[in-house]
Amino acid sequence: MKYLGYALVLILGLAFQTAATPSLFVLGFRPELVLLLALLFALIQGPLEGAIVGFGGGLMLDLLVGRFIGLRALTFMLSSIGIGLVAKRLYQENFLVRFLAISGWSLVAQLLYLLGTAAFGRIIVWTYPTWRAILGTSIFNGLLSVVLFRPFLALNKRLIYWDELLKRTG
Amino acid sequence: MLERLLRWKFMIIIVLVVVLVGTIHYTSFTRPKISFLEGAWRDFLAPLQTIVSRTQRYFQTKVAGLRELRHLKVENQALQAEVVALKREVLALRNYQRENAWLREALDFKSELEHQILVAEVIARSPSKWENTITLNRGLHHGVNTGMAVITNAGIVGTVINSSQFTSTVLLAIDAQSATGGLVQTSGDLVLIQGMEGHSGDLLATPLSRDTSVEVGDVIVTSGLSRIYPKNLPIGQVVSVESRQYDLSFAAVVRPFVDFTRLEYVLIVLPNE
Repeated sequence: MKYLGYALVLILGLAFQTAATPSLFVLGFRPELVLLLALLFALIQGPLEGAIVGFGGGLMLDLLVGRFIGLRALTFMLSSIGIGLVAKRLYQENFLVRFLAISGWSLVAQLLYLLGTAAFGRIIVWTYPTWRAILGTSIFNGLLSVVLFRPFLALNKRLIYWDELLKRTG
Repeated sequence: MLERLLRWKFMIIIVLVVVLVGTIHYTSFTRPKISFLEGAWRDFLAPLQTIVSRTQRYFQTKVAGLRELRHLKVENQALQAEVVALKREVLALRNYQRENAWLREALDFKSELEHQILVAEVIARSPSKWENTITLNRGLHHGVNTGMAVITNAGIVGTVINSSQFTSTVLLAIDAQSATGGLVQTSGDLVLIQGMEGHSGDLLATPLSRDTSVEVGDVIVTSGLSRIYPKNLPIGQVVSVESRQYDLSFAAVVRPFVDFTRLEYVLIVLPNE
């Protein structure tokens, strides 16, 4: 039940990321909503569940793009494990801490993805526009996480509650 | 269930990584055909993407409409005047067309083949800046196939790289992997038009012969030499010319006429029967 809820949230995020984000562009930067959702779940639930959500979200994106299938699944999973492990030592109530954590791990996930594509033959030119796009997306994700953290915490609690209820009542 | 799986976690991780490396390697090239799973996933998502895309467009149009309400009256008058002028021009052009057809016939010219086109809606874009693709709501079911050209009235958009039953993925002309034959409108010289690395949104024109001349402000159109795009479709305008390697060669930066961030509807060029 819980994972079905996570999957629905990821599918919605994916639809918004691919179909609606041009209207959300700020200064040409775009958020990576699926990555953001995976990192938020990992921040709240820890590395294991974060890894599952990260892997699922990444795979959904990979199948849609049709190139380097599995690379996003792998990088999102690793980044979710990373933030999940660090989250134990973080004071998550502070919005600045959340902003820095999500921005930082978004940056790591994007760098891992680009390095991964380069390892499999894609030419990456590390020029100013590339770095600008990476940093812009990371900061955008960080800012969105500040806004989305509380609703996500509430949604996660609700999903866990339904999951428990279903387990007990059969 | 999860606890049981955790006992085998190292084995699962190793198998997973090996499988993923295999799929990454296998899909690291552009494939003309996608797997059943990818096609089914895209077709499953397409209705949801269409709803999100149309809802967003609806609100965007409403907001833009409210903003432009003030200018409507003035614009309406100007447009009415333009309509009158255009009607006159259409009449003149019809006369020219008839004359042209008659003259071609007289000179035994083969008439230029007109391409059939299919209107498609852009329902999604690539999920990140690292891919320059769009998804259209037309696929194999509608006769769309790999390699077909996609255009708008402003100019070229890209080529279809793969299709599911009800959707198609288009590689935009601004992608570094994209390349097409271009022609400098003023001089008639041939150039190769490619997307630029670094996600700037511009195109790069490189000459195909040593005595090619390109200047800032020149308009580049399709050469028609490739089998993808019909001839004389606008591509873009040269904004700068940069020397390369001891001044023996050059590369011109071309700003495309199409605004790739605001694509809503496009035209797919179908091959002639």
